[in-house]
Amino acid sequence: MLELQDVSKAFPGHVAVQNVSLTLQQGEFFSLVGPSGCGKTTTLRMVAGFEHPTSGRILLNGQLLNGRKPQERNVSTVFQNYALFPHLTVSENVAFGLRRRGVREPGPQVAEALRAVRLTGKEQRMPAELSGGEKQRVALARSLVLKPDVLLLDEPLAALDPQLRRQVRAELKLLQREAGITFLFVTHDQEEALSLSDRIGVMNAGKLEQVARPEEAYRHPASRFVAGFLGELNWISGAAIRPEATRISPKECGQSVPCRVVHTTFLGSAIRVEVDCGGGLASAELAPRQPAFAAGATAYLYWDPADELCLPA
Amino acid sequence: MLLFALPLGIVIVLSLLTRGDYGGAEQPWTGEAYRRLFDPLYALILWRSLWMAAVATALCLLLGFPLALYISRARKHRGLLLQLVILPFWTSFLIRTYAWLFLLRDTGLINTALLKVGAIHQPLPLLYNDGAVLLGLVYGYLPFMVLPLYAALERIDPSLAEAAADLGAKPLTITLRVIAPLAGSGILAGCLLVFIPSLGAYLTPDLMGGGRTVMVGNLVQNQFTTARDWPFGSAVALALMCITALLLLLFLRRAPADAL
Amino acid sequence: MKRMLGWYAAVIYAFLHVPLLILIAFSFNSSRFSVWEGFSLNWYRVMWGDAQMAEAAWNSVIIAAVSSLLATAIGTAAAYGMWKHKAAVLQGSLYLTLVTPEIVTGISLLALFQWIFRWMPFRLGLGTVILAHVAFSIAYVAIVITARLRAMDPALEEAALDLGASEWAAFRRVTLPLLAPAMGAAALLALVVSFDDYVITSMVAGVDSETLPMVIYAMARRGVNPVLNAVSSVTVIFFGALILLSEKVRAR
Repeated sequence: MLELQDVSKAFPGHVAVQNVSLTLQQGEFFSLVGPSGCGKTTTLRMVAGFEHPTSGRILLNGQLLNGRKPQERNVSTVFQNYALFPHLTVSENVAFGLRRRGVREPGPQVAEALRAVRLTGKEQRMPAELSGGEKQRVALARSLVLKPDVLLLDEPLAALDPQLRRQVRAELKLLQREAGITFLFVTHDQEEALSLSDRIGVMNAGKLEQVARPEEAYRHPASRFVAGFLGELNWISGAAIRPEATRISPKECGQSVPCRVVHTTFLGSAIRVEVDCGGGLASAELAPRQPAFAAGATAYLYWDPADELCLPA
Repeated sequence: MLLFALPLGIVIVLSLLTRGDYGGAEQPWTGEAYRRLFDPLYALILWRSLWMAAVATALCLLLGFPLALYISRARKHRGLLLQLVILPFWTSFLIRTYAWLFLLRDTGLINTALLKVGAIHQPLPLLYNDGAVLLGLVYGYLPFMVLPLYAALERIDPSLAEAAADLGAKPLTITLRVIAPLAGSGILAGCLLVFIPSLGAYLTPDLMGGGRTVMVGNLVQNQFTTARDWPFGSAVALALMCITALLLLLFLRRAPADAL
Repeated sequence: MKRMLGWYAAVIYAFLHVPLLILIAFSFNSSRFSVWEGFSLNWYRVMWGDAQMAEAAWNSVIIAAVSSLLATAIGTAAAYGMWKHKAAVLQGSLYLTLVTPEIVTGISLLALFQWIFRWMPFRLGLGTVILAHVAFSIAYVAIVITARLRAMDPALEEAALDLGASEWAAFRRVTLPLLAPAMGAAALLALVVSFDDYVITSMVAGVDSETLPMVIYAMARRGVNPVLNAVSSVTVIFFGALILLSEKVRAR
């Protein structure tokens, strides 16, 4: 169990992290998500031991981590660019941590770790000879082989191309379930965080704005920032509604808002209609088999009041 | 750093002392050495050094720019062409200067050959004048100009020149109006890298100028050896150092350090 | 335009290299004057038999080897320290050391040594020359190493610590192997700079520490001497081969 109690970090000239409190359960996949510069990476680096909190306490399984060096904490980091040692082979990279812990014959453990990330047969490759996805798996194996209490992942998918990212996402989740290790995952990609995590924490300007399960945070955001960051938002006559909950009709019907169609976008899985409701742009999704709208046509937006997000000012 | 700051500190102290009877320096403290810097004789040497360094820099730019442009445009063997510029770095400066002595002196290769074909009847005075010193400086420091120029030119997107040509600019216009301004930081770095060592040059004026063309470097050396006036030598050295540091500072403020 | 540029470049290349090539060619001339009279290795024989020159060459080799090793060790440590502590001002001052006119470095080191000699019974000699060479080579080494460190991902050392390595183990197992090629290049640079230096050496050398450049300088002042061509050729070719070899090693 990893606990952050009222942790703050100030750098000369700005406060990166402000009074963050957080508890991660054993075996949980937790994501810290937020725009760049929101303090999520600094939080991660404080858990890893590369930065030291200005105030507050960090505990791992009830033991205080403050003041301990990175090598004295049973946590491990997967770096954004993987930080594989370029002069060592794949298996030497994976064996590095075991050797530092005095393991004389790391062979079997290394083989096991490489099998878990499906890299058997690439033991003697140099990092420069690997694809992006393979490098990422070596970095995972290098950390997992040490059986850390918490694995820290700093945007581990950012360096991969989008196609690969989806595939690796699924693998990552599977690997975490098998290993049963707590993951603290840092990302700026809300879709990644929502799809992978047991719980997410949304950070903005150094503060943790909400900690919740993904659906909960998406449906019941605690602030306007969280609502806007996790998904698109329509502001129509004072109400906030997600575009996929907004419907459009050519005729007036009940509590509907008139608008003018700007253009229609085909998204593959859905058809999105961008409209102008006099002063603000909004978008709505067509119902299945609903006929399309011509640009410039007048239409009416409606929605189920239960889908309105209640946001504190 | 200590190895650098400590000697400099001692030189500063030295420059404030009075010259001793048998070299070295003695009390009392005085600013006499600095006053002598403005003695017309020495001021002239300083001024002349600045002038020579400026001319050498201009010549290097003139010679080096087309070469750097050529290398940056070369399709093949660019590495080799560059290596050929770097090669002199690895050769002793002394030996390279001697090579020119061998060519230029009265009984040197050029005069001997010209006498033999009957083009001249007396050896030409090719050595021991300002021209020879300038030649030596340009020869010695041309690579310092070419390398940063090349680095800057290589970064320029070739499509810019194509775009200019497409808009109807002539090659010379493109070079002067488009390429040269974009290579600004490289030109600045190159000029600095030629000007600074030229200003403080000792060997070139000593060997190529034959003692007739005295530059600041020779003045410093002279004060520490034959003239045995360490305080004055120190003051001259510090003046030289200040000019160098000032130029470097001006440059570093305008361009990032890795431009060097 | 393109063609003109090519010719122009050829002329400049000739300007840069032909003087040295002529110098080397005439080391094989049988005449002692600047007229070609036939091939001969006579001047190499004379050079070989010159005891003073041999001693100077030996001095130069010792000085270059010792000072380049010391400078590489100290310079690497200094560069690493500055990189760790992000000491940008100190890094900037490296350039100042590098562009300090040699003659100024020479006299300030001389002044330093003389000052030390007031308290300690040392004289100018091989030791002071080595110290002086270490002093001016450090800046070269530090700049080469700093450039390499700048290109290195700081996360690599963090990763090593993260995996349980001590600070020393992280340096020894990760940073040092990655710096090794740059250190080799820096050592070579220091070696060449030390072997070539005349100005600083001449200021701090004693009677027993005449180096090859000092001998060459004295001979060059006296006049043209084919033995000098021979010495120059040997030096140039020796270092040319050394550089080529190092490029080969690095390419491998």
